[in-house]
Amino acid sequence: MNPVLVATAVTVVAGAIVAVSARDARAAVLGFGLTLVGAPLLADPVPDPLPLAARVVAAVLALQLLRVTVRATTSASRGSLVGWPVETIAAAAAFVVGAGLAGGLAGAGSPPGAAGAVGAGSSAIILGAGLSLVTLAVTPLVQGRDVLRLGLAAGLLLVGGTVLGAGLGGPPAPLGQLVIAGLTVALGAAVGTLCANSYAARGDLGLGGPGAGIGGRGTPLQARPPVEE
Amino acid sequence: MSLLPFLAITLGAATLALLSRRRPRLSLVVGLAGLALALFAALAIRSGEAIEIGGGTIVTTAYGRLFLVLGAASGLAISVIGLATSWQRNVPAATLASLGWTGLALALPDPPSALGATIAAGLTGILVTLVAPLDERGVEVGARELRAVAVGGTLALVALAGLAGGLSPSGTGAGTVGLAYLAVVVAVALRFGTIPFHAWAGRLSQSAPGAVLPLLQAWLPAGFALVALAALGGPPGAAGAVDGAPAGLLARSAEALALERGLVVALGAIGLLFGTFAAWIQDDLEHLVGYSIAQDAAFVILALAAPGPEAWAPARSWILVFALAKTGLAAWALVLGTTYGSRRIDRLDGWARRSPVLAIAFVLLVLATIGWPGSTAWAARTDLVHAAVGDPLRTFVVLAGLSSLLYYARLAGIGLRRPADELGGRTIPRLRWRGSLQPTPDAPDRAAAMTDAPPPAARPAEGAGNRETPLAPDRAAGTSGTWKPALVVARLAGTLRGARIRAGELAARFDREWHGRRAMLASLLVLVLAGAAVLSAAGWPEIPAAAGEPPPAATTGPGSP
Repeated sequence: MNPVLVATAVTVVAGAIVAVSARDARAAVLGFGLTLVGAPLLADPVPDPLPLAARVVAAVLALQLLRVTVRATTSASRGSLVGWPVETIAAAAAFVVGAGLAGGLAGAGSPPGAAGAVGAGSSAIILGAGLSLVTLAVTPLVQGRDVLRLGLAAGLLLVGGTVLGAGLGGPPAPLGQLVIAGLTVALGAAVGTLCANSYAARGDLGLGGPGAGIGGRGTPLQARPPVEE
Repeated sequence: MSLLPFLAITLGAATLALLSRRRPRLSLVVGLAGLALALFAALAIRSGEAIEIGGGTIVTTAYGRLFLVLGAASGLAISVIGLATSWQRNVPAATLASLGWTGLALALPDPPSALGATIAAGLTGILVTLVAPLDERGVEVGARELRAVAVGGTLALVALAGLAGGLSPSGTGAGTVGLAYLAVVVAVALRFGTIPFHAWAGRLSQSAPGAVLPLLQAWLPAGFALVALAALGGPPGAAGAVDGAPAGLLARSAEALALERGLVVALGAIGLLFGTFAAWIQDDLEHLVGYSIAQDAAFVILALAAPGPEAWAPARSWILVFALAKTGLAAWALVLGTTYGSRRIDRLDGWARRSPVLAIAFVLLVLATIGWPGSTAWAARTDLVHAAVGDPLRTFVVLAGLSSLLYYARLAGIGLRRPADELGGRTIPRLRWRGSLQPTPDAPDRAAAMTDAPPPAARPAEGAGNRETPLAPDRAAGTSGTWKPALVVARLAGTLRGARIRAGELAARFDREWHGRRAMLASLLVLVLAGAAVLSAAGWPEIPAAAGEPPPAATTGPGSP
């Protein structure tokens, strides 16, 4: 088992847990950034430097687009609907299921990873991390009450999909990496624009009727009050 | 490589148009010029060219070129029509970005990579849901679109990667392959918004302007479906032609996937039948257009149920005809709604009598959608049903496909009624072209009528409103000689005011003329779109030949994202 791959998987999933459960929007974006930057490394073999650099640059660009939006709001939000401990347990369970999926597919005569191109141990880690990301995205995607949280969940889902794809079909070719890099930038632009327009339309990032996103201990992401000089 | 200029123009112009959003005129010019340039760049694409990029290959095809040419042309047309009706500044930029990504997707031989490009296209398409003036509903619709793109994209991405990774349709892996196959089909249905995956599409047509419906519900999902079709169905004899991709999966495993194919056929039949029902019960013109698109998209679902490659060419032909005809239908609805100042179907009595150009366009659009015996559209629809459905159900599905004639007949019937003002009953305003109807002395304001507000009968007509109220200097200043300087000033003010009124009248006249010409231009563009749709339904320009060609073949790289 590749310890670097394990560490990367743990980092990526931890970033995703922060992204879905942090009440501070800037922390959530930071966690999402950790996931975005670490996801391309969840492959065996690790991508060539040039495509990897393209993925990292695209991730930074997407984060910048999100940061611009978050900068205009207060940082408090509702955070996770179920709390970070539950999110962590769900992610861990999904990791185990994903890792078991690799064994199950191999047992069914269909070894994952481009007909066995990926080692069994690596494939288990990659599939586990991918399924964790997808699982973490489900709750905010279905029940998300603010645009930023929903956008981060959509991003986690897509990143989880690419990671699962790398586990099932082998690492992307360099051209595929470039396409994913473009997809990452498009995601950042779409979520950032949605957030900016929500802010312009209603003064906060909530979804639904007035007061949406308010509940529990948090408040919806609201426009930052003007600074009095 | 002739595709690269197209990609550079579309993605570059889209970026520039978005960056200049704060200067609407500049953004408009960049967007429309970009679309026009993209059209020429698409026409310049030569099929069969290949270029190595990043260890992979990009291959141009005749079908991809045709898709991009028609997409750019219809995008330009709908943008100009939108400019004349209800302008939304993001439409050209989003259309450009979406076309760029779709062009890349259609040239990528590796299905998962191509799928990634179509997802990016969907994400950029979200921009058009954010309409001006900004409101909460627009943001919610954008969020729903984001959900649909992310969920559908992830489903298909994982499924295709699994299929490319060696999942075998035989033995104990058959169930997994069946699940992957169903995931791809559900993803396609979700993107098109076919019933029962229509929740986001219904909200979309409720909130978004009509100009964006063709892009979001037809062109973008069409690119997505083409990639899925290449991955699952594949052209005749193409099994294994795509390196590392599951081309011809359905042909190779028709028996093993019999149950799943049955489910997909049921999904397609439900989409056709309930799509008609959903469109029939709508009172809103754009809702009807949205459900009409969703209904005819069910033929694409049927194509994914066909066990062999015989559905390859008809499905790809149908996708082009469908996208073009639905663009025309959305444009027709947009112009009609603006002309009559209402999207409510029950307020459009006599539209066909009053707007013969739109009536002709409507007939052409129905003809293009249904086709006629011997036409490409008709053959594609019947071939898809025959390829996917067995004999007992075949007639039912054919009839379900033709059931769209019901809501077209309803629209035609309303259009052929005598207009209400000719019946001597409720008078309806004359045709105007300002988005909302202006009150006339003999007709109440429709908006006021809808809210039961008193009719603005005393309101003077626009442009002449101040004619009756110029300052009367003599009376205002009195006649005494001691007030002579004040009298001169008052007369001067009156003269200036009169000049201002005359200038205002001239401007209003120019405005009326200009708006009238815009109306004519928009109607003619709808007619052109309808004519193009009929030509495509007839097979022009060489649609069947382009649709029958195989997808781009990879030369290197087994990898997939």
